[in-house]
Amino acid sequence: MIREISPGRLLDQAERLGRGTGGRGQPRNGDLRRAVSSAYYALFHAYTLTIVETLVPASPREDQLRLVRPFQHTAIKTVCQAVVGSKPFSSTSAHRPIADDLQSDVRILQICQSFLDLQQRRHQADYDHLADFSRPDTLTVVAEARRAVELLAEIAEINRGRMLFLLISLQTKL
Amino acid sequence: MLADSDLLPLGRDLAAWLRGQRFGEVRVHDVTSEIVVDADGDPAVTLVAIVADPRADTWPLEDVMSLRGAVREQANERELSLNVYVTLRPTTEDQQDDEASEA
Repeated sequence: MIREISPGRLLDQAERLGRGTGGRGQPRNGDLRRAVSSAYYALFHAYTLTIVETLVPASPREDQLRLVRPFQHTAIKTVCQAVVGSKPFSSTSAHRPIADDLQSDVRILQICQSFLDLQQRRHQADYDHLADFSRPDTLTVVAEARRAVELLAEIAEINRGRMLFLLISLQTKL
Repeated sequence: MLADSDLLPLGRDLAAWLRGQRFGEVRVHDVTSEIVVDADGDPAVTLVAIVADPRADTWPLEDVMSLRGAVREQANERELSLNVYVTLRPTTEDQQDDEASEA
């Protein structure tokens, strides 16, 4: 039996941990940190699943899930940085005009920015003792991840979205 | 690439710009900036914004995204080619559940 990693379930888990029991205090520090981490992984897995489902929609599910495995966090980050302009591809890169063009779609811009923001928050949540997490901030992170996952499904339908997916695939080392 | 010493004033400049701004229900009271190393070891600017408490559980996502977009535009205008992250912190922070039980 295949038990896939479901981005939707990860988001639900993140929301549950981020809201807490509804008591007087905020949720426990560990729960807030796990909420942030789960929200990031929901977006990461949504990215890779959407890419494969878009590029090879007719493949058997098991093959799609095998293709998902090699995608690297750094590959997505590299492309996202190029799209938002925080670390553009080199001026001689053949991909630079494509990344520049993708900036004109606000949904793609938002998805890329959210990936960068959430990855950094995940890094803080898992490694930085000094990072502070509150319930409102954590719920914002979860909501941002949820929105980005929704937008991924939207851009899978358009050519610029597929270009983004192709750029990420080309950055991935097998 | 800019050295950390060059990044500090740029971070402070962004923080000064953001201080006092309002994005819908997100009212920024104070901002601190810090140069950090991100997940891949690259330097990045982190802004921590102390904002008015949300009316509900959290702030409206559209307003938060507007804030982040505006900060990104300001960074691009300053030709700041590195990641800028913004963390929101409410003015009033409740104790966390485990802190309450330890008290």
